[in-house]
Amino acid sequence: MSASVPQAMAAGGSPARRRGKFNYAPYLLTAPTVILLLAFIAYPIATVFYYSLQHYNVTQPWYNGFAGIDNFTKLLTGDPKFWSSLWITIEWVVSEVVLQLLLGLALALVINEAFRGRGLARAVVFAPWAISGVLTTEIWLLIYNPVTGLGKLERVLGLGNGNVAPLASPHGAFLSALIAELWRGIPFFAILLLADLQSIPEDLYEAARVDRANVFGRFRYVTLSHLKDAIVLSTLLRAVWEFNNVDLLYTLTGGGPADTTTTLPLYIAQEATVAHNFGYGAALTVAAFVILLAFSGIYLRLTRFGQEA
Amino acid sequence: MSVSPPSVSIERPDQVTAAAPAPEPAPRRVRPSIGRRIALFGPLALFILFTLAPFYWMLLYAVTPTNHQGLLPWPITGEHFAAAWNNLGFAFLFRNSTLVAGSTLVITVVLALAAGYALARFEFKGKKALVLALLCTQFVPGVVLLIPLFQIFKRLSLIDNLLSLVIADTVFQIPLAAVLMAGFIRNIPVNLEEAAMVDGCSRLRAFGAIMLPLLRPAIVATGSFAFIGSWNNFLFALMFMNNQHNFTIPVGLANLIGEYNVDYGALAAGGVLAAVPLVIIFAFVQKFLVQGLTAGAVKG
Amino acid sequence: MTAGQGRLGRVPRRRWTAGAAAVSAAMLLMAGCSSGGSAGGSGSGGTVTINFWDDNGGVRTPAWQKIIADFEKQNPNIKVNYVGVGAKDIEQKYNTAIAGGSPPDVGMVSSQYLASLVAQKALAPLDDKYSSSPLNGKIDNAMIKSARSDAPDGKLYLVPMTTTLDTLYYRTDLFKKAGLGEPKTWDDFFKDAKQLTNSGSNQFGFTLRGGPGGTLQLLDDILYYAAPKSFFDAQGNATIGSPDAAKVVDEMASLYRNGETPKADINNGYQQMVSEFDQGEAAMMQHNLGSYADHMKALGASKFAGVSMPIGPSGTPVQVFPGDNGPAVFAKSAHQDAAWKFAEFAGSATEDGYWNQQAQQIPANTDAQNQAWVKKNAAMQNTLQRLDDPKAIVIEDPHYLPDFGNIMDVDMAPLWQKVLDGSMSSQAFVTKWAQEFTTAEKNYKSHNGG
Repeated sequence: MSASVPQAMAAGGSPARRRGKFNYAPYLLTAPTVILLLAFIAYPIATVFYYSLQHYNVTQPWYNGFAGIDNFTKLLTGDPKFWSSLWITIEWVVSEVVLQLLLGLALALVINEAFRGRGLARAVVFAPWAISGVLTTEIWLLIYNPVTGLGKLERVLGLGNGNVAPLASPHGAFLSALIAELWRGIPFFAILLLADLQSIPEDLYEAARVDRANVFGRFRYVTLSHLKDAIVLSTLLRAVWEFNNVDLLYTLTGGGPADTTTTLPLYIAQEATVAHNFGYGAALTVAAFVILLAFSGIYLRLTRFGQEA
Repeated sequence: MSVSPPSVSIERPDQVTAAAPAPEPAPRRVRPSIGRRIALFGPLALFILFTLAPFYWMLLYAVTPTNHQGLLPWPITGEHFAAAWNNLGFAFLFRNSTLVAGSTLVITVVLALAAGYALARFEFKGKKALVLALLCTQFVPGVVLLIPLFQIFKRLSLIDNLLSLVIADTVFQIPLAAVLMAGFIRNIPVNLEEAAMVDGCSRLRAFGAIMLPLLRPAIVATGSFAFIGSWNNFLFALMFMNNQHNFTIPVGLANLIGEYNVDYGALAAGGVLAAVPLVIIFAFVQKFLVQGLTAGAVKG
Repeated sequence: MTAGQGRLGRVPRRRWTAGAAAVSAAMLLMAGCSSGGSAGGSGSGGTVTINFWDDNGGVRTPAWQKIIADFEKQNPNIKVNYVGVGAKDIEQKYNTAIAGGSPPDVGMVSSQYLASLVAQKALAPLDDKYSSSPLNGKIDNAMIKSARSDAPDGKLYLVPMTTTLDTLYYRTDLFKKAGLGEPKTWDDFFKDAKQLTNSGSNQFGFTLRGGPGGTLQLLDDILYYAAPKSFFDAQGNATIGSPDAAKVVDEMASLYRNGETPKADINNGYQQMVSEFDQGEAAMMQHNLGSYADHMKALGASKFAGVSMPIGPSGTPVQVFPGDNGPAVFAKSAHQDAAWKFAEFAGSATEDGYWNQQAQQIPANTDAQNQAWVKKNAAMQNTLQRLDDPKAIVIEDPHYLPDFGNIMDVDMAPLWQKVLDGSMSSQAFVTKWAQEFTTAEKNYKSHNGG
């Protein structure tokens, strides 16, 4: 690419900005978003931080009061479940995001091509995502239940006596939940990357082809480089989403067997709602927040987000 | 942007002219070889199978009588669909879900276009902080934000009002939408707008005439995310609504999961009723996920 | 270059106005619909509308709709707005509404979380209203007593409407084929489970609940087996850590480990457990009267029976009393009288009887208990007999402890799974369980004038 292209294509390229004049435009454009977020998210998050410094349990109000950093001390030194759930969360998020990204990208590349029935294929790819989470969890529960799902299949096909129990062992439970989450997570990346792929100018491919780049060369130098920033950011956002969204995991395994699939957000939900221990739950949330913040910072720096070559 | 092989040269950007948005281009390749076809369609077929298997299960439960053994959908009954429609008051559920998700879609896309444009085209003080803030809003799970949000909406007298769902859903969808939109906008060379403005358009006209058509894939993708995210939201819909007439589809479906039994038939039927319209709409809308930038015109 | 700067415009005006118009229209539509729908206020001419939340919405909705219709006919200036909430979510919805300041006027509550609602000062005490009402004396004494014991101040906070008792369901046809009689003792039970297992043909003697709700059933099993006189002894120590307790837990876990129950059972919640029994995989199942109707539908009266839980080595029959379920009036309600009227109505003989007949559970109203349909439910007759047996110990789980849910679901449920897969010993398990309860009890008593 000639030297001027990166500049023009760079983030923040703006049509002839008059030097020295204060530009209101970006502030006006982002104002509605900022106001909404301040009003409806910043305040609730602030209350969570506030409660993390409190003992707060509505069913045992005699302990309520300022706790200082007690919750955090307990979290760091006296709570093995925090560390185990954190580790499980990392395993969960990494495997989900990597798999969803790779499979989603492969899928997007395929449905990017023009072929007969492409519209139908795209609709099918999209379908799992259109299903309400309530129903998705019930379907997969049915499938993993030996009586109504895989076991039934096994018996009817004569492959065995149907005494399968995918959710009964720690590995089995993790893998089963992983697959179920993949089922509904891949469409997200597929659609997103498809849209990204569609924005790559055709001439870049032509030019690369003229230069006798083969499929992989074209992929690497045109496709990937164009998608890099989009992939980096959407992967990060997806990782955060997978971190926090535990409804499928919760319904399929309940965090079990024996807490082996209890992720940190699931632990937070248990503490905040079942145990009514909102102060400690808030402290766990703050810990998760800090961890995610640190991770995002490192991740964006490592992937040289927003920087030109 | 990252590394590219030095030998590839492209016509200089000032020569790129945006053609008028073209209709969907005809397939641009000659008939692919067999090997290529297998490489292409083999994995796709596998994936389609993987995707459809749970749907088959769902369909099985939706159309066969309860306690039906066997794997084939015969005999067929419509009782579950009738139950889902009548007992659940599906008409209400549908109306509410559509209103909420539709409004979320519109507001999110508009705000995302605005914020995304600002992030993509401008350098301004606080830009990094804004991106960080957008990220941070996603770091906290909804379950701990439930009570403070409830209190806010109560103060605004919006409890048991669908507007609270629209606001809550929009607020949680905007960060992703804005960031994605910024990425899409950034991918469009700024020279296109410059060229239009040289010709006498205001920035606003340039945006409308040049950018919006090119952003169709972006709008479709972002809009889908916002719509689906709102359509499937369960926690807020359950907690903020205190009237059966205001329940959305996920809440209605959850009522089929009783304390002592699950009405799988009605649940599956309800799920089918909820999902089929969406898939059909997407089948139409997906044709906008096509290349908008047909800047194949190499001028000069 | 005439750059149009500093203006909000970035979308062509036409589309912008069209979009804004659409959004405004949608919002107006929503606001209009919702304000018409939200109830809880006084209408014209003195009509009062009260909000009633059902804790098992969907399933019980038809029954409640009839009760509400009857009530509105008798009380023409009270309208009841019914909201059905799923059983899994009702507790969280109550807590959120209470914390947010929007509770209903009246709602169905259960002993499982009654204490937590009372601790939040969310419910109105009903003692005075009850004693001056025609319902006084018509509600089963055991249920009133249980309701009072679930509250720290011993007041009555709900109108008991229904209860259900632990039931052992077994396949009469399979038992007859194997030449076995009703499992009356725990020894019978374990023997029969082993004998009826034929893993080659996917037949199991028992279906065990290792997942959600499993610890509740296991706790009761300990009480049935060890037959302690009370849950806490005179010193306030929990009695569930005894060697007897360890023994029954161990035998149960051995059933799982030796393959006398399906491998998937370690994760079993209610749904999986009942589908195993109803599809014929398991010969026995432990639950309560609530699932009787489902078994009737799936198996038919000739294939199964529901009996009281087995008797332990001491020979003393035990009946664990599970607590009650019924409408409670919320303290912040602006329509206390109307709300009480509805709760009282639901507890009356006709309505209570009707509701329980649909649900096939035990009515709290003593008149309703004598209705004909009660005698037709064989499982109910069997378990009621045990309840009325003068020799039987009637004992209750300590629902009143604020830590109850925490102990059972967060702490002990994963450990039960550890016992099942063999990585924790039963004695260590029950000792820890007893310790947790003892600590919680001491804590509770010290803050509630114990």
